[in-house]
Amino acid sequence: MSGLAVQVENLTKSYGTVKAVAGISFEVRAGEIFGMLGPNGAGKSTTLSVLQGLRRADGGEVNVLGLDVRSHAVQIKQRIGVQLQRTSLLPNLTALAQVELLARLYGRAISRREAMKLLERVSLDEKAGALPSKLSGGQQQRLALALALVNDPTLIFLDEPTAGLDPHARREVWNIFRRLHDEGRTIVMTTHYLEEAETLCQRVAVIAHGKLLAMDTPQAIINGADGSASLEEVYLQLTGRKVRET
Amino acid sequence: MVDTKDERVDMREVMLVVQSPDRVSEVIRRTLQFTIALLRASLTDWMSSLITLFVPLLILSMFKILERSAAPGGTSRLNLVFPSVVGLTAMLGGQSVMTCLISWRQQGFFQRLACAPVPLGALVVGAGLTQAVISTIQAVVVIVFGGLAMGLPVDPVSASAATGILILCAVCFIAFGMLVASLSNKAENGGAVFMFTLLPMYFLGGEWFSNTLPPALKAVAMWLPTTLSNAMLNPLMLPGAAQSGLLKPLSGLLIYIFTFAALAAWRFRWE
Repeated sequence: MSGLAVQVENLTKSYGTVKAVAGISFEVRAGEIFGMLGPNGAGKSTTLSVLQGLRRADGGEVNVLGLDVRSHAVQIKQRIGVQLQRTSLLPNLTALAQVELLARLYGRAISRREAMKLLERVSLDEKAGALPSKLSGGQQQRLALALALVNDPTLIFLDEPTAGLDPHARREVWNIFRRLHDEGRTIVMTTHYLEEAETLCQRVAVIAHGKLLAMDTPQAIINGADGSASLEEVYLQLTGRKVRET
Repeated sequence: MVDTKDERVDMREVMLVVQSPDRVSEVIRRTLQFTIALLRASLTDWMSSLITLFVPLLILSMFKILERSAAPGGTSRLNLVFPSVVGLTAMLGGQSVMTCLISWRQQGFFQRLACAPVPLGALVVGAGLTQAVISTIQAVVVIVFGGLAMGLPVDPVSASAATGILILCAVCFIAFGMLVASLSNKAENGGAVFMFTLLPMYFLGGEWFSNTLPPALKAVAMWLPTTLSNAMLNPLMLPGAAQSGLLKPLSGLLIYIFTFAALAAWRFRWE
């Protein structure tokens, strides 16, 4: 693989008359944590779903792990990990059974020991026999993350992975992301928490109304703004001003 | 979110699979593993399966009670309705699969499945297969209940042959349940549509009023999937019933299965 995990060139995507993504271009380097920031309806999740092969782009070029997403969606799906905005768990399967089921869908016959090890990575081994309804919000998010790892992906997409979690649970999830990053995996995440982006991401892209407003390291974005002290101030400045202009 | 073609079955993905024999066997293997996992999950949720059984068992019990209070002699109504009640057990599987698919869509589980490298259509077939197994087992339980608890004449050889027809009957109504799931956004709406369609078909197609129906309604009733199922089940489960030939009801039921499945696949959406 080249040094790029994701290459997006002039991506466009509409839903009927609504332009969700209006010509976005960006690259994600292999091994980095890349954050996508933006208000609700900015086009972040749509962009992710195109990268994941769930939706087809109307225009532009999208390459994931060196493969064209239009013609190699199945091969890409085999190699990426996905955690969706909703935890999307089967209500009547235990945590362990969910891991085993998802692994089989990826063609991996993992042993019970391997499945337990995966749950251990997200600190859920003690909840292996629990149904999703018996797990807290943070535990459900961690289980969803374990499911995103069943195929040992080199590239992981996380769509608002810590939404709704309390600060303690959020920090637990951050630590897991850091460990995944230390293992050399690439992470592309969307988030509404600017502190999260500032703490975890090497680079961030700020998106609003389907357009890319800024892309750089969090510090460089802060430095480039006039008199702003934090990423949050710059974000509000960027998205607020641009939204009013359109 | 506006509905787009993205949420439908991706025919290009299906064609890519069909063109490669290796990929076909791989998809079949993963679909079967998915089916087995769902069957295991349904074991933990055995209460739902038990509740589905409650309706046919209650109908049989009510007829048994009514028969006790009736004057001796004449045709046994219990004997007469037994095949159609067993058929109904298989048919109710359609409602279960419909509720399951709608809740998967609502809870985002379909989207999770769509992220996996297996065509989503194959996994929906897996869900249908799971329900077909459960519904057939439920129908067999009703046959055994009829024989042991109700004292109905159940011949093991005929009952085995009837099981094959019940599988077909279950698949037909599971395909119908999938079609309703493709068209409904809420399980409550889908449930109402399913029962509003199934119950008239059940009463028109069973032994309930078949002799007293007006000619126009009779002409429609003879082509209903419930009538076709009963036409195959009656000779096997109802003593003295005449065999009127398998070709018409069998091919009719197969046409229904194909039509329901094709329409369900056309209208299916994962979001």
